[in-house]
Amino acid sequence: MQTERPTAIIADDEPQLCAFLRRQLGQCWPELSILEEAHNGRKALDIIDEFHPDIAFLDIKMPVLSGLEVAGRMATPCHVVFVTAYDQYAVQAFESAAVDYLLKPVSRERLEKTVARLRSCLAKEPPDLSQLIVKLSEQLRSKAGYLQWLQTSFQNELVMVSVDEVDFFQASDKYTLVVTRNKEWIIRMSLKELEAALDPERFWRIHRNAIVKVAAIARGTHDFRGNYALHLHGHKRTLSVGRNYAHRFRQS
Amino acid sequence: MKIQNGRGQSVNPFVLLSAFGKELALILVFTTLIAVLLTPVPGFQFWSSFRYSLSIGLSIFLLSRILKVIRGVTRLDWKISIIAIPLGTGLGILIGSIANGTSPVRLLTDHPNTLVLTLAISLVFGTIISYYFYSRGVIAETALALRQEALERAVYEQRLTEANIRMLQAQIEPHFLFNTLSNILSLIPDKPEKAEQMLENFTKYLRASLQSTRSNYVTLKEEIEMLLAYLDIQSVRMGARLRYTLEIPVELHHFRIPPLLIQPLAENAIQHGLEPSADGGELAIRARHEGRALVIEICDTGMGISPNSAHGVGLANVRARLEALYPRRAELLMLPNQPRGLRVRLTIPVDTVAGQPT
Repeated sequence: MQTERPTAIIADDEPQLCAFLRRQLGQCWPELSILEEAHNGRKALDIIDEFHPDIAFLDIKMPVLSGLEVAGRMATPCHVVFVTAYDQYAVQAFESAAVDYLLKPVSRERLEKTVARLRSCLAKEPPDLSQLIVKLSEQLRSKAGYLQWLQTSFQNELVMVSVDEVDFFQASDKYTLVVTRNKEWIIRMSLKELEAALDPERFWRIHRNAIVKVAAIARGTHDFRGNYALHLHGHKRTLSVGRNYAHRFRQS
Repeated sequence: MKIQNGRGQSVNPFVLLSAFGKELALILVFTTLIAVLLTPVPGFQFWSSFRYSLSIGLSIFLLSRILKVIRGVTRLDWKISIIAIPLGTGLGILIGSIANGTSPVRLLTDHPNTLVLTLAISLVFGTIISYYFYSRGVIAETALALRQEALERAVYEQRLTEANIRMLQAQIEPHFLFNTLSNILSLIPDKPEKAEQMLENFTKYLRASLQSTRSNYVTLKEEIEMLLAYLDIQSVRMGARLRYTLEIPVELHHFRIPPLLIQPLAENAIQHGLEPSADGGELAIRARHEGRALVIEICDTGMGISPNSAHGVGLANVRARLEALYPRRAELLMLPNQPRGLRVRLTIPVDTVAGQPT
């Protein structure tokens, strides 16, 4: 009876690199049968679940789903080899968890080593990657989460203003005034909503009617009544600090 | 955060005390001088004049000080002087007469002429000396403002340098670098002439990036060439997922612009708009001359931005460099593109005649 040929899929959003890896594998491991290629994470997941390959070569950075997400969502586990041009965190994690990975451009030598390892462990159960993937996904996610863009309008056009640009927010009647170095915008979000959505490390509530970007503060001054006011870089206007918020500025 | 005084300096009690002492010594010098000046005048004796001038000088000085603290200002102004000089003179004459052993009432009834003369002399000298202190304050503040301006300029220049360095780092972003090299390597066996072309483009891109830190301006034509080299590399990488068009009229090609403004915005559109989209999309770059400004639009039909989408490093860098190069005169607007994606509109000032940056 003929032994079954090992099977694999390749996923990379760059078609030229998919073709290249296929050709390199053809030279290093002629018996390996490449069942299908995918150019995004969603397609990769579909073909893995459809064809049940022994091995999946997954690029990390792909549209829709990343290689890590694909590995975390596959219905039936297979041996995964991650492929990346440059992901320091991931590479460190792969090293410590002894997970297979290839660095682009993939060298012949490195591919031969990987192929030798895959051949020897193909008969075994694929290792459980779930813990590693949870850890790495958390790292990737932690950067996002806070409000980054504000939607407003300017001369009848919708405009997106980056919170990076904003020096302070000031409440006025129904609206909130958004003040950048060069411009003022009006948004409908309240200070309360903003305070909850913005990164609290970068933006401080300093008054019932104001939120300031910490990096925009130039200095603070006391008047003789003990009120504290903030001077901002590039703004003539000062912002007063409410008594309930003054604790941030007290000398320690 | 440190507590600071009105001039933005940290308050050191010893510094304050020594400044106060210095002003007090100046008052002593001035009042002695006035007494000396008055001695030759008939009817004036040195010690008697000295007691009067010292008590009047100190009264005006201390009153001005107190008013300064109450009003919360950092230097003497006319509003304070208009109250402090007459009030201080009156108070000073009262104290001076007591110090000289004369009853203030008798001064008024027996020597009205001396009183009027003393009052006049006090008002004149009080005004002169107050003006002197006022000028001292102005000079000190001007010097401080100049120092602060120099400091701010230094900070500005440092920010520009930092932004330039970050820009350069972004240009050789590892994913782009290694993926481009992988593509070139993969093309060598079957399509060597395409590999050659890609390598040429990559060289052009890297050279322009490196030169950008050395020159402040390039022509729009040079920036377009660099942009085309970059887009050609990206279209090999992304294949059919990237379609791009450039609509930049030839008559704008000689305009001089800061290097690496358009390309990083195109890169931002690809990285955050088109690359994450499974089907990719279109990138359109247009330029037009509008009054005294050059308007460049970079439109993509990619993912667009949602309130929480991550920021491109390139965008922040471009913004920082624009602010350093054209403080408050350049504009970078993010608009939703139709039917989807992002439209970035960059407006920079140019001279209408020569097409030189103003």
